[in-house]
Amino acid sequence: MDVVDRIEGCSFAGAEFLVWLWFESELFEGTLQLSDDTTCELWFESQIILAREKEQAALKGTAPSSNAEAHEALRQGKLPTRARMRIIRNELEYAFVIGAEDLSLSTLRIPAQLRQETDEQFYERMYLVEEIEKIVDGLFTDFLVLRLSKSWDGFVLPALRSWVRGEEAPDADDYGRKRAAALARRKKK
Amino acid sequence: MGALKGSITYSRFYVQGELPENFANGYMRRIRNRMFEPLTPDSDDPTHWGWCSIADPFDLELDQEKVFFNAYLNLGLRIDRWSVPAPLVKAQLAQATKAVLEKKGRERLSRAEKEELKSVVVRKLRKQLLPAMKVIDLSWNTETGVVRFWSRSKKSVEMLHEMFEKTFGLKLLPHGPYAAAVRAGCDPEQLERLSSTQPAVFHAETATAEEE
Repeated sequence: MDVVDRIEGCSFAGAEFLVWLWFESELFEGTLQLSDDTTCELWFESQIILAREKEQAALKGTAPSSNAEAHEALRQGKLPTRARMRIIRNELEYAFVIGAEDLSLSTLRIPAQLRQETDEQFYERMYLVEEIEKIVDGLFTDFLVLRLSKSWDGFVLPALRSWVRGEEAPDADDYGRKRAAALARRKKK
Repeated sequence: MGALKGSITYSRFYVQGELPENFANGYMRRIRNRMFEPLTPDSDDPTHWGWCSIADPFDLELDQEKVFFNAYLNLGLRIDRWSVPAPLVKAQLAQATKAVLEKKGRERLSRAEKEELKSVVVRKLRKQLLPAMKVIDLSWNTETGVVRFWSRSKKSVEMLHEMFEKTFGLKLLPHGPYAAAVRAGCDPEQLERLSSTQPAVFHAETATAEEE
């Protein structure tokens, strides 16, 4: 399999990642555990596009968590292709649109910059861009660890299905414990 | 625009391959070989693209200080294009054709004559216009191997791949689930497994059908 095939073959993982993030953001009420044992606040904002083949639902106005249409689109088998989200970590707030296919960040809003000189502004800007990339990449890595382990079929996928189908919500503490244990096993390796 | 100020919408890439030792000097020479060359009304190619200063697209005299911001290699990819409005070309061409036919006492021009006349008209119109200019920032963190390019346009990204490879002799891997998995340390077996994994089905109806 060459690189182009692999890129193509892995592209589904972006949409699944967004579903997982949306689910975890709701389950943990906007506070997500990061792999360096810190936390961040993460929530989806009032702009999300979900699609299934040629059918598309572009929703604006209400955050997906409290938007019945967004949940209904998921129940119909549509998956996020683009979503606006907000992340706060260490009092630094970022907002951006993330694309599922290539995990791209666009219209990224970074915390207000303090530096005045052009060079200094550049370094500060890059520091902030790299910080948000680290957070999102770290979350994607955690998702991958779960996706490629027995934990996926063991408890992650059942919890996601239950949430998507509007069935009984998984217990946040129980899910959180299993999640932490699965990620800790990877760290030990 | 974007690396220094303005909207932050960009494409991310990972540089494939190792940097040569003391790359700064060598890269400056390579960058100068691929600098932007201004379009002229007589240019055969209606589009020119090449590197310019990230701080000033008209600055085509680059030195290390303008390009290297500590570990970051910063450039602008300047793309100039002659964009003469088609209705204007059509109207001017009709007028010029009429004048030539009257002068030569003929009723029509050959295909080659029409082409030649159109070329003359276009060049004449270009002298009255300025080329359309687009500048896209590029910032390469040479320590982490990450390149950020302030455009999401497919065409511009294709230009970047070509320019980057020609200039630095290195290929770029676009960011996305596969590249993120590589960067996350997935081994070849995990990458193979991921790229051959069937997407999960979360919703009820199809899940039941597929599971059966």
